[in-house]
Amino acid sequence: MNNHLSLLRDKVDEVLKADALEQRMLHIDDDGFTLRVMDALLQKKRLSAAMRFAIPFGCTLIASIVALAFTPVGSFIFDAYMDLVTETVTPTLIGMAVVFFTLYAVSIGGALSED
Amino acid sequence: MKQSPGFADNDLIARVLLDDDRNAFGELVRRHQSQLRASLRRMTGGNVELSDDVAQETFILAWKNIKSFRYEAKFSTWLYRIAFNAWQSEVRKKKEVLMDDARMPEQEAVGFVTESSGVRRDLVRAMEGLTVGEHNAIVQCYYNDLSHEEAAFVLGIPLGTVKTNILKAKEKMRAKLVAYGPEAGQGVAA
Repeated sequence: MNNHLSLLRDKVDEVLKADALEQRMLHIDDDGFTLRVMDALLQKKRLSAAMRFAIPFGCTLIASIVALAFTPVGSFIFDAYMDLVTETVTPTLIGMAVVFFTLYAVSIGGALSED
Repeated sequence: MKQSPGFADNDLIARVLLDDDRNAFGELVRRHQSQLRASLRRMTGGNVELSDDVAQETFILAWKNIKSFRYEAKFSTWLYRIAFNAWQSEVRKKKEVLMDDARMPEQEAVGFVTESSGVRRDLVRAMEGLTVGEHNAIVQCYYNDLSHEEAAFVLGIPLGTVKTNILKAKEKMRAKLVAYGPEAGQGVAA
């Protein structure tokens, strides 16, 4: 029994090494694996939630200001601002608030969107 | 891992680092995919789909973190470390608690079985009942052909723990092989 044990003592290591060598010799075909990895790398980096919020919000805000300031009803934004300063609730101020909150909601929606 | 003729791994890595060269990285993927996928198949108990998903995640993480590669370890060893961490993360996601003293589920202890020769059968049986830590140490040191130091780096554990796990694993396997008696004796001697 002792002889058997000492034989086995060496054999466990030998058998493990032999089996591992045999396993390492086995080759797994690429079979499109590399292509899938490279495709995954080429996918555009997703923007962070903050950027997904900031970009549409910023762009729309600037566009709205420009549009409101230079259209025939250009005084709209300034009137709304003056109403806000004087704490007077007017249709102009309400209109401006609606524009602002719509803009905010769209931006939040964009930020939360997964696509 | 086998080194294909042409550029050495380090040359390809340098091209990735300097020129953001995706073709060079593609060559690294092509070169290492077989061994990495085989290693992950052993870890996942032969689950081809899961192991390939983890392998893909491993290469993507390698691409993202290649700037942190310091040439202190071989690229393949570094990949094994990422793969092991990715696999552990996958296990955590699945809420399968893999504690060091937990026993390997039987299916996972089987490893990457490609054929059932008598020797392999005996070996697979002998590996059943190893703890996760012992199994991981055997896989890294024998099947991934890493030194104890490299295995410690891959597994993120102290060198002494790797050595202890290997000794304990072999002791358990020895006891199992003895328990099989004549059948094991024939298998092992083959």
